[in-house]
Amino acid sequence: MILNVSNLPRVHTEHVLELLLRRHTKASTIIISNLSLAEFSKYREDTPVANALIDRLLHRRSVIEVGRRVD
Amino acid sequence: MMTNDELHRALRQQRLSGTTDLPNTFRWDTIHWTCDTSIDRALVYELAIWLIQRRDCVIFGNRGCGKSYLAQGIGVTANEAGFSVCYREASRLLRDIASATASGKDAQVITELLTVPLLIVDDLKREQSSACTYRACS
Repeated sequence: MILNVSNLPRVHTEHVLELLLRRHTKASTIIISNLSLAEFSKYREDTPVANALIDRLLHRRSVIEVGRRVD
Repeated sequence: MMTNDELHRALRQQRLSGTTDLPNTFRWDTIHWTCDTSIDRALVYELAIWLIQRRDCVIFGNRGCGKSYLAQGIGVTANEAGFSVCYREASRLLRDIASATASGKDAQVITELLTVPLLIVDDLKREQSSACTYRACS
């Protein structure tokens, strides 16, 4: 899903996603991305963990869009 | 737009309800926001509120809009106020966890990342640069 660094086993990506998921409501996390909200939402399709994480991230509408973008 | 007075009132309420451990010297109005005038200063305050409520936040925007600067401003301010802050690019975070796993220190590293009051993950995207040359177990 989100983090697909070449040469690294996929399991580490899942670790990062689980880390972010487990922090939810326990500590603050700021995530920065060049993607649009629609593009970001597509991550849901990747894995169950990604789906759960994005649901929680977007649930409280804690989304800030900086500057102007052309979609 | 939230005024400084309203923000400080919110902070006081947070303190009284015991849901935060903000130090008394904490002042959000010390944030200096002059780099990019297209970013509403109120957004910084909104982020501050999220921070003390242990919430998450996603910042979107094109390159050069000031996303990282915005988050770093919050991070620096939070750190000056006594919070531990961890700022990592997403690819670096991934490599750190991979490296910790390879060396058997993953439990320690993950515990630190789980408990730090503010974690900022920069440049999250679907495909990281192929220029990344890290080797997990070579």
